[in-house]
Amino acid sequence: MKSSKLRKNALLYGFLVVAAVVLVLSFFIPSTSQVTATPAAENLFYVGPFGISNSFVMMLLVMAGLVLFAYFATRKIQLVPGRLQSMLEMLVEMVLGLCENAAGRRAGRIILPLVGTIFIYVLIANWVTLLPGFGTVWLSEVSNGVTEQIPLLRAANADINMTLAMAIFAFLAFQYAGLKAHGIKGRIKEMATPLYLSPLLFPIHIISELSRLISLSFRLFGNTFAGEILLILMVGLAGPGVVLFMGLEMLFAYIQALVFSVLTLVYTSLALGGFPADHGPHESHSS
Amino acid sequence: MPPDFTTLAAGIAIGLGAIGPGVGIGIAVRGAMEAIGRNPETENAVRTTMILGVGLAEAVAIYAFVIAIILVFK
Repeated sequence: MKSSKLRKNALLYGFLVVAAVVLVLSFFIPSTSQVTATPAAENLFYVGPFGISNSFVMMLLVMAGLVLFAYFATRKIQLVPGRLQSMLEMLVEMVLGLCENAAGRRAGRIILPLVGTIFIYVLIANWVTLLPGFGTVWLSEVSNGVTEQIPLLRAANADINMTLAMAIFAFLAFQYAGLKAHGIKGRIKEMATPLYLSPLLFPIHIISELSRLISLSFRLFGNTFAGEILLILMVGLAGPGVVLFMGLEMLFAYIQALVFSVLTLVYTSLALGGFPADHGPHESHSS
Repeated sequence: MPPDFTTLAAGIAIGLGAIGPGVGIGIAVRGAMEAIGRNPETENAVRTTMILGVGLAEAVAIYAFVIAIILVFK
């Protein structure tokens, strides 16, 4: 028992020593930061008319990893969970707690798969970008006599198409929830609640619904892309000190995953329960 | 050829766009800290809500950032 603990500690210290040596050595390597980032994802190759971009490849890799992990963790489900299974159970219980708090017991369980998928996917897709080799493996391409360097992998969420697709799915989900709960008539009535103000309020409500689509997608895209640029700039400025910013990026990725999934949840519960009752007691007939 | 002001425009866009979210995040965190100070056992719930609010406020700066990026890489 004691010797195995000692061995574990030796492994840890060995790892720390190697990391420290690498960190010190890296101060003497001149940092040649040739890495640039472009707002649009670069196409690697074409399948028919569709360009397959590096973000798309990244997304497929992340998805395959998640599916395989879920498969191996749940292959032998036991009453007393093993390591992988209890890890998954903790994750699901955390998201389930969020959902049931926000949308109630029944609706919370229905919306759980969507919210949980978004949370886990965004979190892992952003954390994976911090692994070594990511974005630094190039594919050289000569076009019009100019050599272009195209990174083989790019953060999946640093592509507006990816985040917009996720936002559209979330948008459809909470609009469907609203229509199912209130019907088309009830939904329109809700949007034009004080009848004498409805010419003014109705367009505002429509615009605010549509702006959720834009804000959801651009928030995630902007954050991921800004994170990449921040890391590139900091490699040029601080060299190995970029490790600190990578830690910061891990925190940001968690916050963005939480924000995207919780906002989907909050919009759904708003659509289910009507708009928040801050109009005063005399207008309670609308619900 | 007229002078090119796009870099200046990008700088102004992100600079002005960061003022509002900065103030907003400050107010949100101050409110959360006061709530935790008054009622320490609600720390977890307050923290989650605060992170959500901070994320929402930060998104405004991100919009400005996206505009700046579009201007620079145009």
